[in-house]
Amino acid sequence: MSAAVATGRALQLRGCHVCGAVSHERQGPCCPRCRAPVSGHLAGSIGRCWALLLAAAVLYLPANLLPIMRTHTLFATRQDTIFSGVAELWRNGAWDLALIVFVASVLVPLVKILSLAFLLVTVQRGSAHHAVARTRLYRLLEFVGHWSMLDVFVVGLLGALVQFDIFAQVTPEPGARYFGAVVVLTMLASRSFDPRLIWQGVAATATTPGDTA
Amino acid sequence: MPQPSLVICAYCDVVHRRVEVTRRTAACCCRCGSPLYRGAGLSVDTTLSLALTGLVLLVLANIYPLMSISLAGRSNAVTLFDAVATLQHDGLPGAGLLVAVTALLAPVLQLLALVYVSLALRLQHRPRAFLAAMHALRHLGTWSMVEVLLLGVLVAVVKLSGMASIAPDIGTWMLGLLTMTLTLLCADDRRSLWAAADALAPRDARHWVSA
Repeated sequence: MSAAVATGRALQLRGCHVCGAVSHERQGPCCPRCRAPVSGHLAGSIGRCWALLLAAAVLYLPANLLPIMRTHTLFATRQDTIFSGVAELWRNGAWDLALIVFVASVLVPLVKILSLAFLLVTVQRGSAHHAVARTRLYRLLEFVGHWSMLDVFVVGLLGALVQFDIFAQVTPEPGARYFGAVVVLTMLASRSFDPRLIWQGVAATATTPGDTA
Repeated sequence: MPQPSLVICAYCDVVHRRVEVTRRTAACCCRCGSPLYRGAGLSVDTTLSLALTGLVLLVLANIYPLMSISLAGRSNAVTLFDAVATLQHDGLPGAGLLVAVTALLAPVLQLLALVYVSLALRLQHRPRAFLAAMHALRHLGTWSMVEVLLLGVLVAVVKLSGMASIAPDIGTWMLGLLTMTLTLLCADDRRSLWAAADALAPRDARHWVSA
């Protein structure tokens, strides 16, 4: 497939991310239709993305190691981390929900952090390989990111539901705070990453047929 | 009706000429395959009716409890406010704020903005805060997580089903319908709203590049 494509950069055009209108660079820093700031490329985005990503990675540890919920019953008090919550669901026979919670709360943030790190490294090295696949990876990250909020909702709901004095009580624990922070930071990190950077390496070199279509 | 005749892929910066596309079809970038735009989105009227429906459902989902539980002869029912209050009360105000924003504030502001814009456009009047509302909608869409709350309710029900008698309540059914409504609204690229607003402000239109 011929790779003679015109990029916005080459033609000095840019598309508005709010209203979709295409305008010329000389028309100023704002979109003429909706006055949203329009940029060619987010200059500081790599640094900002790394900062947010590292913060998320650091908080990922307490989020998973600290308990997010404490349960008092007549017989015992137990503290649950995300892992033990999943194990509890599994033991009670709710394999499908255990899997969903595990994927949403443990895997998704981890995969997001690792994938964004991968994308950043390949962009910084000017890699031109598998640009289509990397773009698809980014779109996937955008899509699944917010599902990690699941555990924060569950902890809040259970805490409000189970308030039966000495018989049963559920109290949210600090781990949930770190967990919410990880979700927010990973979402901000993926929003600050400019996917067009993936294609800078491709445009600069001679186009390889495998990268298009 | 003025319509930008060029589209630039947000993911790989390639410039495309806009081609009309039928309903339920999407135009994708020729280089990276990312979706550019879809055929016939929601009309102004449909947007208005969905947004109003959403508002009603959201109010109902918060007035009626999401779940009710019985244990040792006593019962309790929980609304979203109760969940937020619990998090605040037990020393997790950040998490409480996060839940309040993602499950309540963002969706309600989204729906109000959509009603404001589509109602005004329906009445052939370009609202003064049109641009502000459209900008806000972009951000609000990211932080609106009603469907995650719905799954959270389901998980909570299953977690407690061994220990107590628990069941989803009216609020959850409203939440389910709200999720469907919001999904329909968020999938739309709001072209009909922009087109209607452009038609009502000819001075400002036609400043973008045509092929």
